[in-house]
Formats: sequence, C-alpha cells, structure tokens
Amino acid sequence: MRKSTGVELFLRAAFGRGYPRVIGAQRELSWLFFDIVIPLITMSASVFLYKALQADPAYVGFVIVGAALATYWLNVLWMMASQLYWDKQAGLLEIYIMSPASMMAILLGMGVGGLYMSSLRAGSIAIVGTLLFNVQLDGSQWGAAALVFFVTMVALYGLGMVLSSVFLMWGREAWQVSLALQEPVFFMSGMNFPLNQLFNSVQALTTLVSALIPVGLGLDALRQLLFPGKIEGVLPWGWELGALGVMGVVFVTAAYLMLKRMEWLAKVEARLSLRWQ
Amino acid sequence: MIEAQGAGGSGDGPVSELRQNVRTFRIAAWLGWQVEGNWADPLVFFIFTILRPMASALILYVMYEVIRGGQRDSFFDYLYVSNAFFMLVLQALSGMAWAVLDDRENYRMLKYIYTSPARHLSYLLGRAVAKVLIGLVTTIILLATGVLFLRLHLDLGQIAWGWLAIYFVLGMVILLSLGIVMAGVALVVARNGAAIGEVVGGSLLLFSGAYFAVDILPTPLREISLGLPITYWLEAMRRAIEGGILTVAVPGPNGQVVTQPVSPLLAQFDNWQLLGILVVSAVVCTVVSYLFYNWVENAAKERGMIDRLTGY
Repeated sequence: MRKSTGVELFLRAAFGRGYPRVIGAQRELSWLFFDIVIPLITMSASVFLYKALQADPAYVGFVIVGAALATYWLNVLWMMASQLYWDKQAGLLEIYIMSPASMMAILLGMGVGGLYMSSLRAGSIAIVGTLLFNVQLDGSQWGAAALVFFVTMVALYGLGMVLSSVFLMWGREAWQVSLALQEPVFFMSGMNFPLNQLFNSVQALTTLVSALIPVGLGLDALRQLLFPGKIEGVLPWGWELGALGVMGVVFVTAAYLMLKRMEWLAKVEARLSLRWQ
Repeated sequence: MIEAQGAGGSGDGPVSELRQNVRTFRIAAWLGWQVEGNWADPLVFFIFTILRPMASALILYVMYEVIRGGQRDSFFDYLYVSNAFFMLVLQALSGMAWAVLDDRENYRMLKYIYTSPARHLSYLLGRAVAKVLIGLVTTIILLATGVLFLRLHLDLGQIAWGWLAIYFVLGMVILLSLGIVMAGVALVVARNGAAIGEVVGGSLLLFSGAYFAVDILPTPLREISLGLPITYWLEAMRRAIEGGILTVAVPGPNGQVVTQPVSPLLAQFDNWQLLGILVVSAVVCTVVSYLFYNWVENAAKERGMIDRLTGY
C-alpha cells in the first residue's frame, strides 16, 4: 500500500475531513427544514418588526443579507470552533492526533466542508427571503460583492480555526462559550441593522471588538455594494475589504501557531481524551 | 433493603407515590442546576447566562432606535416586555428536550434513570427547573436593565400584581407542558432532537406576536398566531406588567392623530377572557402532553430508543 506524505497527505486528510460534510448535506435532507425553513421563520420575525416600524424596504434586505451571513457565523461557531470538543466527546480527537495527518489539514477540511454546507443554506435563505419579501438588490457591483464575500469567508473561517484550537483546551466551557457567542456577535456585527448605527452609539472599545469580527465588516461592505445609496458604511467598502484581507492572513497564521501550542498543552494536561466534564 | 423498599414506594398508595414524585423532582432539580451551573464560578456563570438575552434585547433596541430615531412610544414597551418574557418560552421549551438529549447522548445516563425507581415525568420537570429559573432571572434582569438604561416605561405602582401572578403560573403550566411534548419528540427522533426546542421557540417568535402585533401578519399566519396560547400569554403578561392595554398614536382618517391599541385584535379580549383562554389552554396542554409523553415513551421502549446513541 502506497503511503501518502507531504502535500499529498495534507490534501487527502483535508479531503477526508471535508467529505462527510459535503456528502452529509445531500444524504440528510432534514437540514432543509431545520436550517432553511426555521431560520426563514426567525428572520421573518425581524422583517415584520421593521414592517411594523414602517421602515424603508431596504431594511428588509439588510435583514436577509444578515440572516444569510449569520449562517456562516453559526457554522464557524458550532462546526469549526466547537468541533474539536465534539470530536473529543466522540473519541475521534485522539485518533486525529495519533494519525500522521496534520491538524491544520483536518481544520481545512472542516472549514471547506462547512463552507459548502453553509453556502447551500445561506444561498437558500437569501433566494427564498428575497423572493418572499420582494427585495430589490442592485447587482451592478456583483464582482466586488463576490470578492468581499470570498475574503470575508477566509477571515471568518480563519477565526474559526483560531477558536477551535482554543476550544481544544476546554470541556463544557466550550459549549457555553459557543452559546454565549451567538447573539452577542449578531449584535456586535449588525446582523439586523446597519453597523454604523452601532458604531455611532456605543463606546470605542466595543466598536473595536466589533471591527475584529470579520462578519461585521464583511456584512457592512456587502450591504454597501448590494444596496448602494441606502446605507452609510462604517468605512468605504474598499477599506473594509483591505481590513478583512489583513484579518484573514493574521487569523490563519495565528491558528497554525495556536494549534501547535494548544495541542501540546492538551497533551501535557491530558485533556485530549477527557470527556463528560 | 428496607430503605430501598421505602424509596421504591410500590404499592404504598397515592401518598407514597406523591412523595416519590416530589423526591425525584427535588433531586432532578438539583442535578439540573449542577449541569447548568457547575462548570464555572458564579460570576462567570452569571455573565454567560445574561450575555445572550441581553444581546437579543440590545438588537431589538437598536432596530427600534434606527427607525424611530430617539422618539419613543408604547410600541417599544410592547417589544421589550414581550422579548423579556419570551426568554421564559425559549428556556422552558428547550429545557426538557435538552435534558433528554444530554442524559441519553452526552452523559449516557438515561437508561440508568429508567432502571431506577425515579418517576420519569417528575425527573424531566425537575431537570427543567434550573433552566426555567435562569429564564425567570434573565427576564427580571432584562426588565430592570430596560427601565434603568433603555427608557422602558415600567411603573411598579401600575403593575397588576394579582393578574401577573395568575398569568405567570398559567403560563408556566402551558410552557412546561409544551416542554414535555418537546422532550417526547427528542426521545424518539434520531436527528435534530437537540434543536427541537429552539426550533419551536424560533417559530413562536414569528407566530406569537412577540416582536410586533399579530394584526400585521398575513391572514393565514394571523390565524395560526391566534390559535396559539403563547400569543395570549404574552399579551396577558404585557397587560399585567404595564397595567393595561398598550396604545400608540396613529394618523386617523381625517388627518388627526388618534390613539389605538398596539394590537387591536388582542385588545378585544378583556382580562377575564384572557384568563379563560389561558385556563383552558393550560388544561388542554397538560392532558395532551401527559398522554403524548406516555405514548412516545412506550414507543421508545418498544423500539429500544431509551439507550441508543445517535451521535448526531
């Protein structure tokens, strides 16, 4: 049997980890209900709130774009950051560590597979929401919007890789942290309202934290590109794109360094196979 | 052996049965509290507990401010108070489903509960107590934060304490009954059982009129909304807390400003009618949830689902 080494081993490990996520999305169709219908219903509550407040129809579009990007944040949180915790509970983590595969390859596979799953969900939410509520999108800058989206995803999943290495050390705290990072990040990144409203109304430290969450700046840039003239951005979208690019490089590099360190610490403290705590 | 026979209580009559149920409930409540809270020191636990609901409330606050630009009317009170009490809905609905999932899949203890003399329904209710208490504390903190920092109008002298107490108890009966149904579903579904409480909670966000008056919903959705007890419970809680029906100023037919209830549809019901609806709902929900849970529990036993691990 031929052994894989180097880049080939890395890519095969990444493919192996990403495969169940891609295939799982087609085999387990209950996600259509749980991950599309239910988010649509929850999103509709925010849409009807804006309707009750007699807001400009563009706000409905802001909510829909926010709901689509929220899918990616939830995926990063629960299927990237927390995944090593789940794998530890299931007894898989020790197998990853014992195998010759790089943990970065495992994370890359998780990320790419998760991105695929999330894109199906986010795309469905965006399309159905747009049609259902008759949202008028401006597609004249679609190339720039696609670029912003891609760079946002690199930064976001890079952050997910950083978090997963941190979560490696935790037990039930990982679960609690993931729970605690849901709505606060929705708030800090302006999922349901223009981000500049938050920057205008809260203190500098909070806005700094807000700016460090890739989904916030990505969302702001996307809204500027898809609803031109309807929203005042925190920064011009080009600046936000640059900031997201820097974040992507920093997060992926940090993830590599932290993973090595956390893996070592987890071994020293014998936490890799420590379950139910 | 003597103690074990006493604890088992088989054949000792209704008093012993009640004692066993109370005992199971008490121990399950303690266990639930440990599961919820012993992973961190009390301050960290408190911060983590309050972060999510506080962020949800702030999202609504900013959404309101973005559109109204600092102008304030009773609609904000409607929105904020509803959201605060909706925390209880989420906690109660997800609490028991999570207890089943946690015990079966994570701690793998459910089979031992079933092989012990513990009373299953009392156990489930006990496990949900911690979550409901957390929900209640969260609701109180949200209301206090609203008054202190977000200009929520809430006058302690205007609160209808009697109605509040009655509506609260009835609401808890309804919510815990629905929680038992969620737990039953979690017991027999192979996948997505963990999400079932949040899923139903998320749906109720739209259908219960928590964020807006149900009047603005399209007709089919409005009919669903008016068929749900949670819609009436939230209206009842808003009324009790605010001391009456919330009203807003709207432009009238001749250009003048007129005052009307935030939800004219729900304003048709007086407190006694709301009470009647909630009493009937509580009775129906209790009976149905009891029958439903027994039914799915038997099905789960027949199909060997009590100790299965879906790994999902």
